[in-house]
Amino acid sequence: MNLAEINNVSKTFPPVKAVRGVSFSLGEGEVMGLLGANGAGKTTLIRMICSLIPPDSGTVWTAGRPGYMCQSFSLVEELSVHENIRYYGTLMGLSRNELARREEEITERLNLVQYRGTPVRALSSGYRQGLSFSVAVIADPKVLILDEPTSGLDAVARRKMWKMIHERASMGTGIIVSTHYLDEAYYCSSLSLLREGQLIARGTPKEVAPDEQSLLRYFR
Amino acid sequence: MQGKFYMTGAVIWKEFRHIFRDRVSCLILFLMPVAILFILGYALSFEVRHLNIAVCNPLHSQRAESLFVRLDANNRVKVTGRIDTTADIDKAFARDNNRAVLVWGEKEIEIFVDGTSALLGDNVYNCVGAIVADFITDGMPPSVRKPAITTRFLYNPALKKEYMPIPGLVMMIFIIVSAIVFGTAVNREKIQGSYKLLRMTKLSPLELIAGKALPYFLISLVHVFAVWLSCLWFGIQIVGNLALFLSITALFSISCMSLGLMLAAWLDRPVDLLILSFILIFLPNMLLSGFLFPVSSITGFFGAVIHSFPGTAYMSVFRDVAYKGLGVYDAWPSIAVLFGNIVAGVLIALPGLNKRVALR
Repeated sequence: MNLAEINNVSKTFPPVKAVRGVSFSLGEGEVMGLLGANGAGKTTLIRMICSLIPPDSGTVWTAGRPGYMCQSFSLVEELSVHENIRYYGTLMGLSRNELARREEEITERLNLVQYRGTPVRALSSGYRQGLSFSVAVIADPKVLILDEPTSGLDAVARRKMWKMIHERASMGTGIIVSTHYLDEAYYCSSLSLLREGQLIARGTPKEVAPDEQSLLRYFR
Repeated sequence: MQGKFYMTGAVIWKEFRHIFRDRVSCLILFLMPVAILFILGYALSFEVRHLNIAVCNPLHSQRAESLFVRLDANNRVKVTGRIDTTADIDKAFARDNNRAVLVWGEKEIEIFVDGTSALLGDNVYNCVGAIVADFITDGMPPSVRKPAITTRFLYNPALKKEYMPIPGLVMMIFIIVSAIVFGTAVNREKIQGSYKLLRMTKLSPLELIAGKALPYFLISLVHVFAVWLSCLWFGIQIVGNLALFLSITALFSISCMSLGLMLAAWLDRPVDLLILSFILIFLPNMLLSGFLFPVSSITGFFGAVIHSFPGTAYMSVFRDVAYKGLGVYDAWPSIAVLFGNIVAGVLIALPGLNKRVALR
């Protein structure tokens, strides 16, 4: 069953054609890597899927409101861990009881129980990234969109992030991850490669590029 | 040595490119001097021009009519209308931006001056008083008994200096808190990326703005209360309807927030926001609102621009409602300006917020 369907979507920021006639679908539990060089149209495509900007043509459909996590953590740095969870949970429409349950679950899973009252700005980037991810999935979205979630993280934190992504996918969530780390392409179950706003390849990592060297060819 | 010249040349070349390709830097570099020249050019003058006065001639004296003609012929004074009796003096001050009312009585010529601005009051007194004194000296035959000239300052009889700065200081506080601090808060939300998350919720942009603005509005209500306390502290009598005055102050706070929102929506960098808030909001409202310099007499296109500033409107409302005791009916032009600023600010901000989310 498809959780997202992107059909012939285009977007122009004159004079730049950012996205040109892109189509693909996202299945249950699929982790789709959205790859492309800088300016390939990844971020524009993601924002259209998130309904942050409307496409000029084509249609975007997602099963429910997608969860979203952007490069800059999106958390309110002046608020504590507890307050951030409550704030975003409320905005996503969670009830009071549900919020309490989710907060307990998130803080225990991220080992943040003792930091509940700590302002987010005082947390390490690994903790912040984990919290940001948890906030993005707080309302159990069927589709999750991650815009360069490992950008600026060290190797250990990146590995932890991918662990969280796979855990989420195993629960049936369809995930779109944009990244410019080539090695991360092989953590995904499928790849979509963009170049100059066009989808130039789509398939499993093995089908698209069996190794990093062959993947590099798409960026030349 | 030549190499260093080339290197320095490269830095100069890069800097010029940098300046001209950054629209906000261009705006700051080229708009600021022009804005300051215009603002200060208009503002830095204590001279009163186009001074509006109303006249009253209850005895239908021919000499009084001669004086009124002389007054109107003076290029600094304009006779805007007449009143039949001295009972209508308050009404005269409520219309046509009149600063003085001249009454030709049986034994004396009374000049009633709006004392709400001590500075302007002095100017009006000197200007009108001099014309009347000249008329008495050379415009009346020596055989006729010369009337005495009496000047009365209304709404601030003792010409207390505190009456003048309070409206301006209050305006300054609201410009800083409601416009600049609120604008910075919206800008911070955009930079942190949390605005994008908010846009993905069920809330509409207007509901988001309302939610963001409400705390600042509530804090500004504390400032509104502080305004009332400061009036008590400085011994300033609010003769008008207190509830109306405080409501209009709250409206002014919202109009300041809409200006801050407008800039924050279109600007990405906090430093740009602060500089342009200073140039486009703080400076014009401070210098062209009549707080520091008399500007009520500026007419024409620039007069219209100046009177569309929320600061100018609020200064006018403060004096009209709090000092003179006027009601909504008399103060409606200023209230309309405040509403207009709110609508314009939000309408300009909304596409900016959408566009900047798309680009950032």
